[in-house]
Amino acid sequence: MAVNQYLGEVLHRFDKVLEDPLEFIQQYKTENRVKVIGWLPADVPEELIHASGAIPFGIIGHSGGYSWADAHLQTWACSLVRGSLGLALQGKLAFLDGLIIPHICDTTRNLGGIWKHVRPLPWMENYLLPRQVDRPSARTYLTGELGRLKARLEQCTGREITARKLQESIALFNQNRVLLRRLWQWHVSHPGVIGNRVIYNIIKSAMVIPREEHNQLLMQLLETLDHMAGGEEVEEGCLRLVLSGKVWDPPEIMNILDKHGAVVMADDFTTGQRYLAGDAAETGDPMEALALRQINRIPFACFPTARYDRRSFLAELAGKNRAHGVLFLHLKYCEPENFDYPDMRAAVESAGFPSLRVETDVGNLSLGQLETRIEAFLEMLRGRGTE
Amino acid sequence: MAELRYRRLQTLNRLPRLMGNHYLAARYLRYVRPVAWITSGAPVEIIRAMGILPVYPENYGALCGSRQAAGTLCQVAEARGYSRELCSYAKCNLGSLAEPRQAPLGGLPRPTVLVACNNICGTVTKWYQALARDLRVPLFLWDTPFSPGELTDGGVAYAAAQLREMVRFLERHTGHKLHQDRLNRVMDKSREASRLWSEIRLLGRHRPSPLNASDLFIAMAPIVVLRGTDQAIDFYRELKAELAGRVAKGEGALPVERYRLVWDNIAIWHKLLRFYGQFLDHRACFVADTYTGGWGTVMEGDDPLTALARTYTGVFLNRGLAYRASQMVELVRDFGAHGFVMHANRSCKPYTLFQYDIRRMVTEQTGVPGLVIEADMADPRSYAEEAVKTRIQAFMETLDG
Repeated sequence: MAVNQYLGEVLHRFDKVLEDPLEFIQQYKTENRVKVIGWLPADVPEELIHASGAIPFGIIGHSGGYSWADAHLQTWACSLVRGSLGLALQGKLAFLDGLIIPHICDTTRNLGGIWKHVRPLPWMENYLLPRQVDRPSARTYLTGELGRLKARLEQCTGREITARKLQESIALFNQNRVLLRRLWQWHVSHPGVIGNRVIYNIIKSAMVIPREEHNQLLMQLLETLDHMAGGEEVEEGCLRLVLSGKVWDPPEIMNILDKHGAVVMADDFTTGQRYLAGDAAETGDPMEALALRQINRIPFACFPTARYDRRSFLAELAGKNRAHGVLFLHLKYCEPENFDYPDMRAAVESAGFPSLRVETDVGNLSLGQLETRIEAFLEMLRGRGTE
Repeated sequence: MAELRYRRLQTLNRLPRLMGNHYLAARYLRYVRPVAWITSGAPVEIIRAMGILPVYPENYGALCGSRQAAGTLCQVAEARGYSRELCSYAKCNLGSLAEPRQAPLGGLPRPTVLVACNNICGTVTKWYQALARDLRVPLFLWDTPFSPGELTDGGVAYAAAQLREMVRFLERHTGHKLHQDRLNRVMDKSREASRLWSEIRLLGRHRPSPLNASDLFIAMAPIVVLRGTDQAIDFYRELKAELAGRVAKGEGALPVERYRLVWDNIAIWHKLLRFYGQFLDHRACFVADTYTGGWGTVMEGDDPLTALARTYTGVFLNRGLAYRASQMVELVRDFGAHGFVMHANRSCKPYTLFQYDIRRMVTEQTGVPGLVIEADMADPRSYAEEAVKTRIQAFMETLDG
């Protein structure tokens, strides 16, 4: 089919980038003579980086080099952080003009100092987010912190971030989120057609490919998918899952789910729905708009509210999506997740959703064992569903 | 074991009674006064000034460690779904709620409110959220931003603004009011105790040192738990006088002091004396440590809330790598240390994750060697006794060489 062939070509362009994101971005940097500023998960305001004239580049567990970190971090720091520092130690991130490390947990809080000491980049900043989001003081402080980051970015790129420029960047990133959400909706209403791995790869590629280009690719993709939509073949017998965790890596997990006929209906990953949900206002003070978007993001272990709405959020997500079960993908050694887990499990199970928790490592994972556990869980869900 | 013995500080004999009274008071006074469970870095001055009884789950974790109860309580918490990887203080506390019969003192008296400050770690925020859910008790999180470099005005202003929110929170949930004159009085007492505590720690500079880190770890309970009270001041005055007496007589904590070492991280509570005893065999005294200095900062400034905000935001655990390394370098130099020992504490990421680089930086800047040993502050399951012993032996041999 011509449509399918064209679809394959568009999807290939997303995939190609993720085969070697570092190679892709360095080539882009050389060809376009732009500055590239890296960021670590989660919640770094890419709009600000973009408005400063630089390209934001997400360092999101491009695996390899974990043992390089051994001299600087205990083995019981998570693989996401160890892997990122490992890349830097191998000199693979030397092309970056700058780096923003957000303070989201005790490991990221310490990482900045170590990184700056062992592999200093020309420009490095911590993004010191407020850890409480309930009280009025959080918003005032966050607006100030964004202002500090903005001034530092202006020093880095030598370009002033005017309100207008920032509004344009916000509009561009909003457009990206709107397109990604449309794509997600398509995936949810046509389960199993393009697959979990593909959809999550596309979200991840947004953190790598410059946003103007990513938006173009998404529009082409959506247009192609709309042509296909006539078919509307909703696959029977697929298992609907809700996933929860910080990141969805290693990517092979999505292949496992694809292989066993499970479709991800919703999640709360910082590299999933938390990344694409919610837009910033395009009118009014753009700095306030960024602060407000941050404060109102979907629940996250690292900045919970006093109402602990994460558990009800997750249970409602499972209910709304008529999920057969909930799969927790927890980065091994992730303290915020480890503390939330007993409560989250109780919440989804008391709402009637069976759950499985697997501990993940963004690389170096024993995939066979993981597949066996996930497969057993899916079989159990399937058995329940047909009862 | 060698026949060498520490010289026991007489003042420390007062501690069981002093701390026992604290726990007893909380147990009975809770019927007439509100109780707050608070973190070791929380602004207890405000809590006390409002007539609220402060109780410290972290101190309780240390107590569980010393009484060899931590392993069991951690397992209780783990059976309820909390990961083996989580902080052992948190698990002692959460475990004691689930199985009070297995918990020292039967657990802690139930709180009216919870107050957590993240200046020491993010762990306490997650721990206290779990408590708030389990106990259905309101929680106030005092968010003191991390300082990679110098403290920023924005960070201090944010911390101070939240203290005003905290007072309103406490007033709402306890019905008690904050009176400025009472706050000033408590802060004066807190300053006095912190000043005495700093002076006591500085006595370790004498040769021989009149104190060993194990003394500081035993003696620190009142500066954490009774800060802002007369009892803390009385206790530290007496302790200081006893130590000054030792200095005057040229008497050290060890009968013979050959090596002077600096300790980094929280104590290994479950092996406290036995662990330090291994250094006694080598006539090595821990003349200083980084941890107990966390309560020696004296609050400055006219506006009490800003003074509290600046002091609590600026504690060493809330500071970046450069600050932490320079603190260690200063201790090595000021106390004339021959080496340093770092406890890679499985429970404590913010304290531990900098250590490998700090070790190299301190050795480069001072020329003295450092040792990293793996253990846990309360949970004995993360402690490989023989491996630690071998590493200590090898390290002491390099000093001998």
